Amino acid sequence: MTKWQIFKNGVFNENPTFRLVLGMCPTLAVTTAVVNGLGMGIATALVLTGSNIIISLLRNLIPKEIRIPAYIVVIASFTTIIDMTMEAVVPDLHGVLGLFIPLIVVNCIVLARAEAFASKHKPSEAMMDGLGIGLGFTLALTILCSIRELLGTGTILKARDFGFAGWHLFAKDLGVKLLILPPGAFITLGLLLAGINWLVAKRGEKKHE
Amino acid sequence: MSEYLLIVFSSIFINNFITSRFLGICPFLGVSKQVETATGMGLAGTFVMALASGITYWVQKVLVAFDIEFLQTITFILVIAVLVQFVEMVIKKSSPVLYRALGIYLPLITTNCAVLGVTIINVTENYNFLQSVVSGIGGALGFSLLLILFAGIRERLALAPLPKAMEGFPIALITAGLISIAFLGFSGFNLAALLNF
Amino acid sequence: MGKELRLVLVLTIICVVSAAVLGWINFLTEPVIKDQRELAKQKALQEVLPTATEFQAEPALIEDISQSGVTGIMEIYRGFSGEEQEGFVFTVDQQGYASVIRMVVGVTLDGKLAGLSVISQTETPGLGAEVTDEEFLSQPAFRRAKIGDQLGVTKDNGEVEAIASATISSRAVVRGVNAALTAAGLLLAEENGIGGVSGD
Repeated sequence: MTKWQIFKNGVFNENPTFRLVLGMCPTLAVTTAVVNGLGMGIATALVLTGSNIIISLLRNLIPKEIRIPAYIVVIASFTTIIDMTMEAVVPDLHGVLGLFIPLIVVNCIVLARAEAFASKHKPSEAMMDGLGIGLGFTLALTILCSIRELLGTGTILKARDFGFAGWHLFAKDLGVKLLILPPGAFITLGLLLAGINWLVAKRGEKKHE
Repeated sequence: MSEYLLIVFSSIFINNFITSRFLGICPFLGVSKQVETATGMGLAGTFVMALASGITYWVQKVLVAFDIEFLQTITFILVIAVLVQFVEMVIKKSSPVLYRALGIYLPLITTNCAVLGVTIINVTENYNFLQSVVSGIGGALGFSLLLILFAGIRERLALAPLPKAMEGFPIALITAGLISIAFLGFSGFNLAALLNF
Repeated sequence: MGKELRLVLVLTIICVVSAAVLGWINFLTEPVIKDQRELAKQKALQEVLPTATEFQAEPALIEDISQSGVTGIMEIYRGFSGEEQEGFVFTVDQQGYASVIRMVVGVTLDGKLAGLSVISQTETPGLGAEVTDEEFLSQPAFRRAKIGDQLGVTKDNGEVEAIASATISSRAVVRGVNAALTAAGLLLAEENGIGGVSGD
């Protein structure tokens, strides 16, 4: 695979949310507004790319028996770095995402890519994989957030803490509040997944004809 | 006493890990196809979460004493990983029956974000030792309750004819959404008043 | 034996290197985070008492206030514009529905509520979390409030419009405002009695 193919693979064929169905906790929890989803996606992508590179560099040095604890330490370090940097640079967003930033450590996407990809490939390839999967995750979160924020509150890209008013498309009272509440997360993601399964199946059929 | 009851009730019904806090969704979707496995996972999780809550309370004390709180994430996850390994070894030696029932779920628990989640929540809520342990147990009980409920529904769901695109995760998520709506009903409870009464 | 030693060694090296890197990053970010928090605090105080430019914490007063039965006051600040005192700002904690709601309340020297904002809460998003919303916090019932008032939500025959399906969270904010107004009343009465606003 060329590096571009690795990247594309991460965004589409192995999209962590829609195809692999990994990392559900942050996906469901923070996707009430587009800003939060984007922030979470980017933070995860940075941790993923960083840990992929380091784990790939160390892949011949780490004995097989202790690889999992070693990976966890590397991932936890990157998570803490992102955590501290975000608190210093974007404190408001850090406050909103709260608990889910340290929880990037236990996001199965990161550990899964370390084990399945980074430990078997060159650093440059591992980096492309991290970027691709990270972008795929960010895209998925953004799609989910856009639907929930728009239909739930009638605004899009509202980010008061950043001094960005967003666009008001319809009155707040007309929004479907359920979508912003926890059940909305499950239901929206379920319907999205079903839609994507249907599209993939359709494309598969066409190829066979 | 009522303060502990409050923590337990609110973490089972109102701030349920799955329906409102979104912690531990991966095992929730992954190991909930049969009631039996769900019960095993729930039990193993409860055990580890109670222990982890207690131990990390003291770990946090040490971190604060040395002024190295920035190592919180990394030490907590290592403590949990070691703890899980240790519990696995002890159970394997002492009770082969229990090991057969819980053994395969234990490694999965390290990366269950509910465990790390509850330990961090305990710190941010400033719970004391007993409150931390109670919050760990309460959270885990809520998690187990949902896991078993959900597994019961999914056993039935497996027999239902569904459109191909809805099979598997999509219908599981939508079902979870419906359960979550039911749990929203609990959020009207004024627990404090209820318990004081 | 040699192999096990190697395992321990590798893991130890990884941990030590990680801790060192984190320590270094912490050293870089800690002062920035501290500044940010200070700035955020300053901004929050300024927001609720716009006429003042400088704030001075008064930890000694908190004891007196809580002894007189007002609950939830966590911090008290005097707001100054130059030498002149403009009013008080209180940080108040009240138990909401799912979390403790922390708010800052500004009261001017002539006893009017100058501003109100919620600075931290983790209530249910979409319901209780709406207490941070401008629409709720700047409603007339709050804007008109002054020392001596006991506010209440409409459900309890008060004037404050509670957030739909989040009465408990709304009540918590109302309780916070009442606590701040009562505390301000006590402080003003005491200081006017002594005869001067400058007395510590």
